[in-house]
Amino acid sequence: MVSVMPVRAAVLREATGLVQVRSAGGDSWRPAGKTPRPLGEGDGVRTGFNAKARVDLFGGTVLETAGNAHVSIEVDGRSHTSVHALFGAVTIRAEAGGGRVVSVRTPVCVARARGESVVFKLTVAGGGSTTVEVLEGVAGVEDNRGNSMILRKGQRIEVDLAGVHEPTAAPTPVQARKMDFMALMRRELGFELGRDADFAAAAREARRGERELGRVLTDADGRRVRVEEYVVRPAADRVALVVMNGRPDGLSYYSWNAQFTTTLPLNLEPVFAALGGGAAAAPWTVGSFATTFADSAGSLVARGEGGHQVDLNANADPLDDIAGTATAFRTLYDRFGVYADGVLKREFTGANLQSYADRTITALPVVVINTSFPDAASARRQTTEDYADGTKIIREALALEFGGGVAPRASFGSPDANVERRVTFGGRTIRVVMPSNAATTLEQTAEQVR
Amino acid sequence: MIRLLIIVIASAAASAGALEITPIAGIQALGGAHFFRGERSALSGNADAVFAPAIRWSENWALLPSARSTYEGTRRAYDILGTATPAQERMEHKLALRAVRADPMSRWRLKPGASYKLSFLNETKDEKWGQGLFDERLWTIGAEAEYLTREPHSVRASVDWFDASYPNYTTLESQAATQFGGATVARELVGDRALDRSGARLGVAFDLPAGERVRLDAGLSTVWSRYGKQKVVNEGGQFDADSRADFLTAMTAAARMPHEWNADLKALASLTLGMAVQSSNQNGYDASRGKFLPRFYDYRELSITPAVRLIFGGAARVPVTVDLSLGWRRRSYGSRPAQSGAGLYDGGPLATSEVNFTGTLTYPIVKRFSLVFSLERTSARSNQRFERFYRYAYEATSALAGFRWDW
Repeated sequence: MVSVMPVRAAVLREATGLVQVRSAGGDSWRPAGKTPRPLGEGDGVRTGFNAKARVDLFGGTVLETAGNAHVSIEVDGRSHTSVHALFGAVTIRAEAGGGRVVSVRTPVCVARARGESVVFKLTVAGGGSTTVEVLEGVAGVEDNRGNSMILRKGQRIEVDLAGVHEPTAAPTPVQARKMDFMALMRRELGFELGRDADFAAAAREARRGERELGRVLTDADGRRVRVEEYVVRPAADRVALVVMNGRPDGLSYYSWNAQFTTTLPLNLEPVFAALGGGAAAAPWTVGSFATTFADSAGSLVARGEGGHQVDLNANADPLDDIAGTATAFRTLYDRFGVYADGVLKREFTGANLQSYADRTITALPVVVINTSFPDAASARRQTTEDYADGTKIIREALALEFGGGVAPRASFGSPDANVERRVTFGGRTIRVVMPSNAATTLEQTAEQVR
Repeated sequence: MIRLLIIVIASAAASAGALEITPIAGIQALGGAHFFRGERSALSGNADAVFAPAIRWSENWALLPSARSTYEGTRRAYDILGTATPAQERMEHKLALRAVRADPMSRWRLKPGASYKLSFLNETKDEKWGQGLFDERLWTIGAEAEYLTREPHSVRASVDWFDASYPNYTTLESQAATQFGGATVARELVGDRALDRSGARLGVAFDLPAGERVRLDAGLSTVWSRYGKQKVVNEGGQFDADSRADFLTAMTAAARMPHEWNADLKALASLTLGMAVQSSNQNGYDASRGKFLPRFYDYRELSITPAVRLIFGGAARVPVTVDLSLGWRRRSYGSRPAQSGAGLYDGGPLATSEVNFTGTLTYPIVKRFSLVFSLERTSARSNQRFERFYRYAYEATSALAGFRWDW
């Protein structure tokens, strides 16, 4: 009996799911249609998700593709069958007896059957990297650089643009299933961890906002101090600037609470800009004010009343003149007092004062005020008020380093340095870190009337 | 969340005969120092550990419980460095549970999940763990749907609800309102837990091949946050009845391409473009000047980051890798004016720009164990000259060395 080798072209024998065919030289992919369907050299076959295709090649060689695969038939003849695998997983059952060559080419290698009956599987991933796994018989693998390797049943090898890697034992079906599962779970874990980035960004922005607004600072001792600066408007003619500090041992605050002689506009910017005085009288006059340093245990309060605007350069006192301007309007107060825990320490009075030289100092314990810089290296200024009754009020101003601690002496007045104000009386100290220079402007009155 | 995780794992263990549990784990520990504006921090370290016992529940369902802990004693270049303080360390612990439905016959994957994260941040020497002002508790619950286009490429859409709280943060003003009764030190409508927020996150992402060698991936996500206790500041510096609400939207697009020179030297190059937009109804108010700052938090940010991974070594061993990236980022606050050094609002819109360089060498010692050396440098510039609270211009460097182990 003589066996006759079948002589015919390749045939698309089975097509399950979405399977498309492109004719040699053609541009468009068309549904495979009914099977069996003849295929010629140069024809391409591609499969969709979860689809399958089987192509019978010359001499009993069979090509099977899984889903998402793309192959084309390069040569299919009596002595040579060659398939180009561009993407996805394909399995070849090669009948390569009698000197026939059966090979599969990928972007990075060529795999050839070595023997009569060989089964090998190729998986082509993105970039062309290929995994070759021999299921039966012997196969040879050659990379684009000419390096070759022989694989036997149960061996697999990875090939990429750099060439062939070392062959390893092909995983058992159980191992392969486990590896696939691990790869899937690693991917999911990556998604899970990556999801955090959006929430972390939102949290960073919240923290950043607090910092930019000066609400989180570090004090002269390197400790966290929280700061909130805001205005309170209890009535149309009243405004209070409050600087609230929070430390682990409680709250302290500075406030400047003023009542104006007229109704204030909604926009306070021009009002605050005019508080330091100017060449012309401001539309808004502070009638009375109270500056307060306080904590939960007590307070030091300075009160002024009877405010009215005066041109200092036009009054009878040459000592209060402001140089460089013809007119210099400032608000003077007819009554002023300093209270420690509600007890009056010093005061003056007057009637429509045009100069503080005309004020009348009320007979209270004698007060001596001295200002010094107790630490030559540090930006620390100390003002001491000594009273005849033995009481003492110490006011300190310290310029702070950005990350905490007292700045060098030269940093006084630097716009980059926060200032910590301390008021010591009655055996305790009220500490307030000021986030702005506003208090300096607001307290000018008190400074002038010592 | 912890109980739920224990119940799930215990249930899985009880029927372990029918289940497959595949552990995934990794640890990275690095030590080093951080330099900010020329000042060096104390030597410290960073650590990151993750453990996830993946459970195959059935052919279609899998569970992925995971636990991750991180410690950061040395600040990283991508953090908000303008807040740098000499003593700063961070610790995070996260538990998550994700179910994955992946029917082999379907292109769709569905992944419901939930997570809980504790974040601790100490910024000054007097803060202890658990007492940090910005300590955060974050709950999330949500789901992701994935559509496989051409494996392994896919399109993913996700939605999450979240609740973030700051247990140690209460506004001083709200405390003052009760502590100094009678004094004019608090505004009406002031809220207490002004940083607590809740909201939703929506995300869409995809990756696909472009030609034979290039891979493209892109993502768009937006986080809507509602600060229920933080009222909107009005032009008069007082509070309106409305609460603050933010939208933070981020978009990235990247192209990646491999290249090989020879068997011992390969590379994977990438170019990533990013854009972020924050939109908030909250305003700012500079009380010291009585200046109203509308839409204080709004900004737009653009970034571009070319990067390359160099891979040394042939197929015979685990390769040595060098990762290099150089990023540029610019942020513009459209409504926030820049300030002079004295704090005057005399500039145009505030803008910042950063250049970041990152280099990482990974040197494998044995299988799954590698030595890691990392250098990060950031250079920041801005037209904002007022830096009393926050540094807008600086040079910062982090140098770290340690190891990584993966399972």
